Amino acid sequence: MKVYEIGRSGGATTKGNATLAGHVRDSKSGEPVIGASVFIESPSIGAATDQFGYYSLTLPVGRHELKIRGVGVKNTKRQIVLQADGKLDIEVEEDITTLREVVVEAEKDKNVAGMQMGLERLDIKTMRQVPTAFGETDILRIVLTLPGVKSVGEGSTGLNVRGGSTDQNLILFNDATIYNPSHLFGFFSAFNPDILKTVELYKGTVPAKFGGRLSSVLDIATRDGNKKKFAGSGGIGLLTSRLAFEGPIIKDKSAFLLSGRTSYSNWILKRLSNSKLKQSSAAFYDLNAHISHEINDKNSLYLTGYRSRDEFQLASDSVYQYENTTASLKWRHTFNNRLYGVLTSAYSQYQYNISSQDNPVTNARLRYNIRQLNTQADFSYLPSAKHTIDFGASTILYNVSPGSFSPVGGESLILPNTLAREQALESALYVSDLITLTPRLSVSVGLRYSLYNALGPREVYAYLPGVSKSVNTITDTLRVGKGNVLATYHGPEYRLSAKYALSDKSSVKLSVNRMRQYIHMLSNTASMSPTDSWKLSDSNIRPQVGDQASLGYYRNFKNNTIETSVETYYRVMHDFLDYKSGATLLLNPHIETDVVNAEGKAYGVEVMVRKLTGKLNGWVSYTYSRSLVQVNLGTTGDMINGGQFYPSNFDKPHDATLVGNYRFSRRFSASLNVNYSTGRPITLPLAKYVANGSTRVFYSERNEYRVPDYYRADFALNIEGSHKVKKLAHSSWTVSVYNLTGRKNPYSIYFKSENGQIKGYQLAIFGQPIPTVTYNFKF
Amino acid sequence: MRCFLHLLYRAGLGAVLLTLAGCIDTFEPEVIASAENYLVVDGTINSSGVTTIRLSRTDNLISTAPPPAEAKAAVFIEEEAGPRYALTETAPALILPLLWR
Repeated sequence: MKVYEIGRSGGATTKGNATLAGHVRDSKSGEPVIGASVFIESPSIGAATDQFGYYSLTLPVGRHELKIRGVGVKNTKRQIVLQADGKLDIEVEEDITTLREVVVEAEKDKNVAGMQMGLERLDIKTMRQVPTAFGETDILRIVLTLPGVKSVGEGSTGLNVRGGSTDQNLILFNDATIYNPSHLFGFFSAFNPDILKTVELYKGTVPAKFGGRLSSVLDIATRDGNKKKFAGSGGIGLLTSRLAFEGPIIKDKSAFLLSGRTSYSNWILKRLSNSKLKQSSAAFYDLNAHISHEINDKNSLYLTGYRSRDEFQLASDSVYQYENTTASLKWRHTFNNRLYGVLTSAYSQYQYNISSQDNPVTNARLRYNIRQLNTQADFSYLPSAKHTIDFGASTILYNVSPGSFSPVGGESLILPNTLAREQALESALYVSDLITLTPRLSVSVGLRYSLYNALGPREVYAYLPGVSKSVNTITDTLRVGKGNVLATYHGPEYRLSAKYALSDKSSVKLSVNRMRQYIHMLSNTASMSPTDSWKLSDSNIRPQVGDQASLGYYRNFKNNTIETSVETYYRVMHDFLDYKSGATLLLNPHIETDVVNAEGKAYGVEVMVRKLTGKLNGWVSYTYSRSLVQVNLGTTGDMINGGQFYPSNFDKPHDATLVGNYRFSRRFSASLNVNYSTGRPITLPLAKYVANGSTRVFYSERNEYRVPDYYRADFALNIEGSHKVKKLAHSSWTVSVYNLTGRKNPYSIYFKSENGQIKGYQLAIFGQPIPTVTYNFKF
Repeated sequence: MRCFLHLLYRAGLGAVLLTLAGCIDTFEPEVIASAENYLVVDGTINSSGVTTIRLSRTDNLISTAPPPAEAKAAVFIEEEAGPRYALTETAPALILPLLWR
């Protein structure tokens, strides 16, 4: 048995501690292994590898058996003799038999022993088992099966996390912000599943490193690419196909990962006889390129480029297009075994445009664009086994073009109208320390201080104080010059959490945190749609502030194979935007007259039982939660529902999910996914009446009623090709049925006036069972 | 009920767009169909002339008949801490102007 000597032999001390650090990598691909436990048993000291597969352990000097356990990797041991600080990179073998089994050895007791609460980490292998609408793994849909995460309805990938609105989630794709995470109205998420490595959703304690959104952080990371050999994977489905290719540029040092995905619905539509559908089109694609390069032992570089684009036309003459473009560059430098830093620069852009081409005289195009440039430096310092200190600084420069309406073609009589650009700078400093006080008790103390400056050049309106803002109450127009500040907001954001282990099998965790959000989404619909625009805070629109306290109890059973958790939370949210009745959101130069700052509160209990191993695995979750809004500014005309709390658009008190997988053999497995939730609130027309000679409609209080309950069951069968090692390509088939019972869950409800009658309709998009077949391959 | 999904299969390969046409069903929650109604008071107070107030009831959304009028109501206009004026119902009874001098 090989014994690794760490540190200089000979004159080394035999007492005291030394720090061992290094990377854990996959022996076949050289990819970092994330979230693996690296530990010794006596005394019990361990650490988990971070996003780079990096670990750092401070151990007593002497001989140890170092054990490594992780998701989908074989249990590995190393005999070490630690004499002084040193480095040990460990290669571990992939455990092929667990490809479909999801043995989460390292994560087995993470639930109880881990510090994070309200963190859901999903591995791509877990995600692949959940049946989806079109046979392709869709991370946003899977995130929706987790407790506390909801959407307003079918065909919407906007997430409502713990009673927060869809704009309160920071979605990061390799460190770059994604503003629209979906394709085709949310039927697909904008991320190609073949290149993803991990998806982490922070909904309780958000680390001090992250900020800028009130409800959650969804951190999506791609793989680094295979550093040892060329490989590829892909899938062919009824609606989309995808392909990924990867390989070494310099063996063991650098790798590339390229992927693309496209739909071919357009091609089909053009071949239909129905003339209305012939006029329709819907197409999307997304492209990714990623390069990782290890310059030397201490320096690594990561470069990612991403682009997604959608275009559709719905039996009409308006063409909608939207696209996300991001690029990020990351440089990681290891100073020594105890300190490393990451410098990241990322660019994101989201834009949409709508053009109408039915009449040469009125042909026009509406454009919206938001760009942001982030730069951040993050450091991790591990001074001793008792402390993990993270600190850093970040800044974001926003540039928004809130709307431009322009004529198309020489005959168009449309007058151009362009709203002035908005720009702002959001900066933050943070520090946090994870302190292990006793083996049972650990606390994490974090502080983030954020500063926001809305910048000129811009014209801003001043309004009469104490009355509802409207065009009639404008008192002055202020011109702010280029580079000058028109509004400043700042404040601390505290992030506190504590964990107390009641025993080896159970623990209690508590957390309190505050978040600030300087950017708001303006949306005509309750779900995310391509025409949602983002608005920067300014002198008339204040930033959002949210506080959350949560308490959780975690207990594992049957040798840690069954995890249970109960988490409860209470949140208050200040100054998020709600709309006045009849608000105009597009091309509105004084949007502050159509929105109101609302107060919100949300609370709930989330219960989850998860079994991660064995032939039968999956999870069951149930959430009871409420999400309430109050608009009562004390100014006349700005009250909704008499200034009382009312249910938010996504207040769905009961929500239950079952995700189950059963493996019949190595080659056959079946999955079932069942969702139920209370119908979302709706404002209904109740009656009609005649006033002043015309017929009017009497509406209920805002969100007084509910749409029918949501229920859906999906089923999938996975058939693996044979597991012969020497095969050109590994393939698998997925046969799935989405909405097995054919329930007509309402996507939208609308009212139409027909021959003097006002009639209500509900539109279901997936109102029948939808079977699909997908062929997946890997070479 | 109208469903467009069959088109998806006729096309051989499905197109999401076709399913977008989806299934349309009528939506008639109980509260809309209920016979419950509200009193509608329509008019303005004219301090230097004839004031006409029309009283009627709200009607079901699917009704095509004119809204039912509210007959035999006692209507007063009251000045703040001052006199009270009764309005009188005028015929014919479908719409009821009440006069105040």
